[in-house]
Amino acid sequence: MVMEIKDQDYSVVYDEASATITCDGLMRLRGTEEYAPIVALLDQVKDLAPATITLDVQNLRFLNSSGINVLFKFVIDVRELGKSELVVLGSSLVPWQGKSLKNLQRLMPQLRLKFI
Amino acid sequence: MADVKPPVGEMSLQAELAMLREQVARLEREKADLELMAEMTTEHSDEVAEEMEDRLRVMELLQQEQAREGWAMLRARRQGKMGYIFEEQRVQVLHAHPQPDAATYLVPMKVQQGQVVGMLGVRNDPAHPLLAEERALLDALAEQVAAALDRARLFEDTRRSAARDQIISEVSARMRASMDIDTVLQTTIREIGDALNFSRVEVRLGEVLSEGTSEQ
Repeated sequence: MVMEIKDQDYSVVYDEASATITCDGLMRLRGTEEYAPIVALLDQVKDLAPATITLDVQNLRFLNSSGINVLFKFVIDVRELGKSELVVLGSSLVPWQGKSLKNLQRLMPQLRLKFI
Repeated sequence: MADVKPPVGEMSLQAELAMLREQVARLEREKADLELMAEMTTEHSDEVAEEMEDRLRVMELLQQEQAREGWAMLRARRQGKMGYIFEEQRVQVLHAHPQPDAATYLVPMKVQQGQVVGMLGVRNDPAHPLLAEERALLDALAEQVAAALDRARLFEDTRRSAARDQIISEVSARMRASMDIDTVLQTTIREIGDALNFSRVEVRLGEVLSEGTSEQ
């Protein structure tokens, strides 16, 4: 099963075989309402509860503050459910990721972070 | 009062208490999460804003560079025709920078990107120096002239690139119209030679490299 949301600027794709959520492009949606489909996809993945969820944002070049909040909430939800490990793949070439991805570990210390 | 027996529902009361404690703990965790999220969202926004500012700076630099290049190309095209001089009721072409002298008041003409694209000068007789308000007027005029010059340069650039696009589309339309190899080859050199004024144009089949070109 593949779940995906695609737009001109960005895409969010979940590949069940590898339990990987890949976010690409530029995410500058406005507020909770526009992020709702993405939140729903993330929720579904959390509820599927694979042993390890990989969140690959290496090619997510821009993420606004509503977007980072969506990621924060997803990390908290996975932590609270306590069924899946979380691995986040980031890129050292994308400026925003340095600090904000490391911050995810403040919400979930056992989260594994890999910069590629 | 001291000898009160435990009420019937004591166990469930204890259970309720435990549940409430758990709820409080969860709420406290949620509160901590929310506080942390607020702090980290601010950090994220700051980071993104900084990145945007960096990009804006890069864009400004690129624009400056583009304007500098544009002006350099324009000067090269004018082949030494630097400007004009108005003297004794006559306009003459300036082919060289006039010698700087103390009797000329010079104002730089600055375009938006801060680049000085030329100078505006008037005779400033030491016996009758310019008044402050005359200087102020010339300063303001130099700014307006610079803006007009920049607009004219941009217009000329646009016209030149439109003309180039037209040549490309005309030449390629004519070449596409033919279905014969030799006609295509001949049309190519003739059209390119005519449209772009080259004294020599060649076109050939095969991958023979000319001298000085290295094979990859």
